[in-house]
Amino acid sequence: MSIALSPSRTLRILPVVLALAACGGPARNSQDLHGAALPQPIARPDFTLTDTRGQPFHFRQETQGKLTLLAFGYTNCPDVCPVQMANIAAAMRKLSRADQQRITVVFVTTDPPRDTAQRLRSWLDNFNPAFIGLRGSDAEITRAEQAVGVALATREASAPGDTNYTVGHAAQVYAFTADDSAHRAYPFGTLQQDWAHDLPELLRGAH
Amino acid sequence: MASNVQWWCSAQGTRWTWNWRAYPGIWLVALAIAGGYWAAVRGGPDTPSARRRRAIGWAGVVLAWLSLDWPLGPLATGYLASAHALQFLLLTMVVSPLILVGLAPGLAARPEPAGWWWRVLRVLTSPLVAAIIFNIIAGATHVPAVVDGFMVSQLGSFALDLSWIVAGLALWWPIVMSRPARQFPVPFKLLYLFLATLIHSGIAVVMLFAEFPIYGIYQLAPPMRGLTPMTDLQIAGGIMELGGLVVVFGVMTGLFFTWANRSAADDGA
Repeated sequence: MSIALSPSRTLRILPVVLALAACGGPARNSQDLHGAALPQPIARPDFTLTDTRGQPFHFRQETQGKLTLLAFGYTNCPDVCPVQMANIAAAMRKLSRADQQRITVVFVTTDPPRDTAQRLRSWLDNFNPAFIGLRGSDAEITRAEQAVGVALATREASAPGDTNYTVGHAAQVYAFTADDSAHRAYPFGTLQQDWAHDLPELLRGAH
Repeated sequence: MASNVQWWCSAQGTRWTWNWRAYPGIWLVALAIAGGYWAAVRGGPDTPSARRRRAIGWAGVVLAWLSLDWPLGPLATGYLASAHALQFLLLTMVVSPLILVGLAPGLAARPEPAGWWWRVLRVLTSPLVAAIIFNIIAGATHVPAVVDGFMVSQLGSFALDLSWIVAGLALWWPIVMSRPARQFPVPFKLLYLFLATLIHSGIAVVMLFAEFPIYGIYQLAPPMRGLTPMTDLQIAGGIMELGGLVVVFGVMTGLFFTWANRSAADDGA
């Protein structure tokens, strides 16, 4: 079906379109987003961990209605975690300050023994001091992973007592939008350009 | 875990370490270049000038090996756009002309061969064709899709490296070599060099002013301490621009003054 728009009709509907755009408009389902569409949206999970100030952080409560990027990883990660965090931070720097403040980035460590609150904070500060770092006991982190539905992290030590181990963990970043669901995940390989394209769209309600 | 032995460098996606790695394919190619060069200069004139030029050529052969091998080779293929730019600059703007400088006296001393391959070489090294070859290779091998696609495989990376040597030889042949014989006065050489290397500046400008890191392979590489992909890309652009300017304008200046002095001497005679 096609709708012919005459100049006069365009002018009549323009205020309505602009008004919808100004207040965010209805939720938009965009096929143009660069993030991978999830087969089923994931509801904003309900878990509580501890932030880098030592305060409890109730994920669902504290991020409700906000665009929230959720990642699992660890600060000794040689590749995936620093690249994902750096690319998100670089893309966010291209946004206005107001838009930057509308995005919450939450990084949950999957390596609490080595990722102390101080280490986690200083690592995240390399990217953006506003990024939130969460930690907890192994059991609490497992519950958080299960709440999101990601693969559980596993420590891969070469020998018992080896502190130079790596941690296998979910590499994708989940984007929870204003409707309190994640419709998109951003796997490792997402470029700064992809984030810069998608973040404004996600803020506008696209999913 | 990256293997410590690879036939040729390629992007590995593992954290960079300063542990030495072996690349036998690079050694074989370096040996082939050295063997070819030795065969080409053997039996050439034995004047002090020819000996000096042969030594310059050998420096080019050694630099070819150093440009391809660890650490610059793996850094360029999997970690840093700036290392990639330095490698490109060395292979096209330094290694190639040095090797040609070494080959020139021997080639000039021999009678021109009459084979078909010599006729092909005459066409390929004519200034217009040589400039086109250099521009096509330099341009194509800096397209992000090509870099990202080729650098992940040893064969792709090998193809890019060799194409840069070919591009450099093509670019510098009309400047350095007097054979195949052709009329190519110095003012035309200066113009040729300036126009043929404009693409070099074009690539550098794209790197310097890009809004985002243009190569996925370097953006997604395990981070190097204190260097963001954007800064790395800008350094790459700076190396391309400044390094290219130094080499091209240095050679142009040398050519100009040699030509001017010779003209003055001819006028005085």
